[in-house]
Amino acid sequence: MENVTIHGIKSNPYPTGEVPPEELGSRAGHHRARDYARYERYERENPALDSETHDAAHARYTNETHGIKRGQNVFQGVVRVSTPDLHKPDMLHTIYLALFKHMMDWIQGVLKRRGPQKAVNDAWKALPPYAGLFVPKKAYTEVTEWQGKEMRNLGRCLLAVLAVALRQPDSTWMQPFRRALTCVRSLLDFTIMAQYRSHTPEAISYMEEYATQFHETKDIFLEFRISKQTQEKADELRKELRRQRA
Amino acid sequence: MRERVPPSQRRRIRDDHREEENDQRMEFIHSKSNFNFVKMHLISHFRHHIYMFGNIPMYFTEYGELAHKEQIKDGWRGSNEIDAARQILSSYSRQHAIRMRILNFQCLQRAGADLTTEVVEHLEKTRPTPTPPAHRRSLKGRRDNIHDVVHFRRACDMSPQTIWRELIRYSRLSLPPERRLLENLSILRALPVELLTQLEIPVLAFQESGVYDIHRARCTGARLFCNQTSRNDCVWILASGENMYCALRGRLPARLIALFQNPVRLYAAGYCLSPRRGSIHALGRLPTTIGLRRCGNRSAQRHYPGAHNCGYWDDHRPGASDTGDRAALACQLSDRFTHV
Repeated sequence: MENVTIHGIKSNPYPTGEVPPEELGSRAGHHRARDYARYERYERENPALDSETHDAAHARYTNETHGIKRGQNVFQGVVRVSTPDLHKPDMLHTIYLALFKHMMDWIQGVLKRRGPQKAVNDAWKALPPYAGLFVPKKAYTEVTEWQGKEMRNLGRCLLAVLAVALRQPDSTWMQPFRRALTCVRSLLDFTIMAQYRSHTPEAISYMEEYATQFHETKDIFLEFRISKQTQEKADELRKELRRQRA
Repeated sequence: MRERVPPSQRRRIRDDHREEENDQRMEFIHSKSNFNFVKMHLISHFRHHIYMFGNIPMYFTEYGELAHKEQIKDGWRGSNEIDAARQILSSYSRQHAIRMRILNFQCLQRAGADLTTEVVEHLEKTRPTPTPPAHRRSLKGRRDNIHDVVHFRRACDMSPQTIWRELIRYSRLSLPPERRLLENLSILRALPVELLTQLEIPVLAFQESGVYDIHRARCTGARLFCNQTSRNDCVWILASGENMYCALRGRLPARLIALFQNPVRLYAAGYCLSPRRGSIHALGRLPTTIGLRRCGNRSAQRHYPGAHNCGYWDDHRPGASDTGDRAALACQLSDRFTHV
């Protein structure tokens, strides 16, 4: 949330570049970096954004799509400060508390639908102690709040737990499970590579590969990204279909 | 009149409908759902960031969140909670300034600068960083009514010959010459002994300098432990010098049946139940325990009776099924803790 204030943007849009919301999930290529001087110019040229002129409407549209908040920004006009570059990749909030958490939701979704949820919980609880590893005492579903440290631990042992629990799926679920495991693995590998203290071009290319693989295989979890509205609409659709048949 | 449809066909039609419904629903969900959230896209910047600014752990916010405790919360606790903001701000900066000053003085002192006696005195008294408390092994749970070897053997139900033989053997093999026991039966008989039930072993946490995990080795003999069955942990003992037992380097897996202490600080002992004979095999100092955790391995329990509390790592390689291999494997594990 600090970013939002510093960057002078609304709470949802992307901080460093002008990535349209519908492309956030894809592995999109280059996007124009945010240029605050340009935004300022827009504002100066269209002082009456609330008016009904064509230009104002255009500017409003631009602001809307780029998620810019009108008004002063802390770093506005400061020489040699590039606001979009202020954003630094942060493992804690980007990966441990965001992507891992999402991923666990998806995995829970898969397991709930068709999977050995109990086996996963058992494997989770039976983890042996190991130096530097925090041994979980509760099953995953019993824990309500997750700290960054716990999420990091989870990242360490998650793949092993899933591999143990899903080792003998029935034939129809073989393929989805394998794909899901690949997806989880590539994200975990990516995380591990990102934690390296020094890199070679080769290591970075590995990291990129894992990220690509993650994006390629993540569609297996697509149905668990369902929003409430979509859920409602889908239910309505089904009802409609039944009514037609009756 | 409506045509009658046989039940099997009806069921088939119903199933078909349901499948169609599900397919349509899935299609709809897939078309409407997406992965479009900000953090999904953020990971694509990592590569560029590494090239521009160096590794990513440098920018972890975890450190900042940890600093919150020292810089803000401790300051708040130290304040009188009235107009606390100023006190919090000054508290940390004061601590920081004092630490910096002490470091400066120390640096000057090392460079041979001329400091006043007051400053030198102060420097000797204070340390810029608090030293972590020294952790020592501690024996706990002293049992009453046991004063010498005779009482001790009665409590543990062992023959005196075994105890004396093993005591002498142990003192010859692993004690330094100046601390060896006198091999005189009457002296040994009168040797004062305390019997205890628990040894706490601090083990330095992995990659940490001041954080210790406390491993507890317990032996309750035939007594109950926490209203459950008795507990006699499986441990590694240092039974002799490093050149013995080849890969095990003087260590033996053992079941702890007694912990005792005497004036020569021969203070912990375990007995190895040899896999074949089940007889008392060795007496030794306790180097460490390896992970006290249920292992649930049948064959391990067969080889080491009561091994349910041994952190025993079983590997499923086909060639590794004999005890020797396993013991070596477990020994490698215990090597992580050789500093104990």
